[in-house]
Amino acid sequence: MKTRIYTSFEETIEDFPDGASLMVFCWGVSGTPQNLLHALKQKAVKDLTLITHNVVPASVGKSVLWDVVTPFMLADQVKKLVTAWPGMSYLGMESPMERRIREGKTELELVSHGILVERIRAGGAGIGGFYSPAGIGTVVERGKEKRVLDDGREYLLEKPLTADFGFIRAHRADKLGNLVYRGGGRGCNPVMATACRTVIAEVDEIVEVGELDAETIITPGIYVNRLVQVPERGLGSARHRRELLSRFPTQGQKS
Amino acid sequence: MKPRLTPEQVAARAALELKDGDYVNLGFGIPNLCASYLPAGIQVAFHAEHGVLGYGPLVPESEWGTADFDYVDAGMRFFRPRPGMAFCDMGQSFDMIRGRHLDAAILGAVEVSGAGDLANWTFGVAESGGIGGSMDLAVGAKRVIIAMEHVTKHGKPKIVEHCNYPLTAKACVDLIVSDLAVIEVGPTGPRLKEIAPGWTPEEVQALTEPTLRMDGAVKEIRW
Repeated sequence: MKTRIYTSFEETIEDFPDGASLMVFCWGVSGTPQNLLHALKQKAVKDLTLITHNVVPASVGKSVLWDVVTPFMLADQVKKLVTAWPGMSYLGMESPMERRIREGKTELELVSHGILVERIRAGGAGIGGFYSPAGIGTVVERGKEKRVLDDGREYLLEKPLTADFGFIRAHRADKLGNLVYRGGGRGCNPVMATACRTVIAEVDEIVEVGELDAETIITPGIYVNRLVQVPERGLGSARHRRELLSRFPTQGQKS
Repeated sequence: MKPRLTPEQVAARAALELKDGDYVNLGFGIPNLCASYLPAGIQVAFHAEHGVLGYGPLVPESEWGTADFDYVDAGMRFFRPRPGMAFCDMGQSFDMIRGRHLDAAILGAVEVSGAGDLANWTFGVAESGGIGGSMDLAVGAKRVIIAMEHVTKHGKPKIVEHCNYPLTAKACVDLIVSDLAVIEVGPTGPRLKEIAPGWTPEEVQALTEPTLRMDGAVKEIRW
């Protein structure tokens, strides 16, 4: 299906209903589709199933960047959470998401990072499930088929994951939806892009077809349904990143 | 109170386990310090779970203003790019882990049993703390080395007969480097290899739940 180019984040998620499932990656500022998440927050979509690696605010070292939009901000909208890192207990505080989990308002399916990403890959690749050694003898083996395979090791049967919507953050796109990423911002984005019925990518720049080097494309446009360019002053834009960095010292200064 | 190794000294001792050319994942806390205490003359490539291999030195806080948000490690700390660094997606990153391509993972621990069971992802119920990549690293890395304090804040042994906290993986740990001792663990039980300067094997045993084998000479820890 042809990739559609939008100019408004609100419009790209106009058909996002209550109760839908969403996959989104977040590694602090990096790889996080902040504008799409912000639009979803504004739209106040309810009863989400959220599939994401970490539910923590963006941080650098011990400095929390509260004004960076991450899945952490969606806590009130989430009915079911699939994640490897639900909260902030490592900072010695209970997050809004952890409170909801404790109060029974959000159901938690706890997984390891590696199993989460592989389940998403299976979902995107038409694989019906796979056996993995991670999690044997731990809380995550509950309810899963366990078997000893030919190498004599125990494995757990893991099921594929897909979602209704995937929010993707890439560096550049061409008008066919081919994507390239930047640094660690690649993360789980290319994997999630394969496993969602509607994939929406926000990118720093949309260029003409032919301007991206075909050898470097990580996500072919076949996976990408909607594209939107982050505006000059948008969340996660080069300008926004410079503003965030300007809070920290440059060469030799003390903060 | 007799002196124990500082966290930096524990990290330096743990880093002695690494060899030139190793691919290594470091966990939070003391393990993270290992990057700064590599033995002279060796180069290792560090692996970050979200898909970075062979990244450069961490950016000191006094220079964060010049850093790049797309260059952060698994602990959200800025690093500098380094020639030879490679990015991959998170699926491939965990293929490297589960597929036994990482030479070592140096991790922290809440508890380790004498048989090498590891508990390191939560201090309490399953709803607090995060599994992160720990379960994958524990079963996938060729060697799992634990760098930690020997006892809890309350003086209780962290090396135990059976882990009380939720497990990360069974029988996965190869070596413990603590602030008091270096202990090999595995199917034949824990073996005391080295002790902190000024400590006796009996004193270390008194702070360790399972009985430590002491076949072979017990050496003083050097770092």
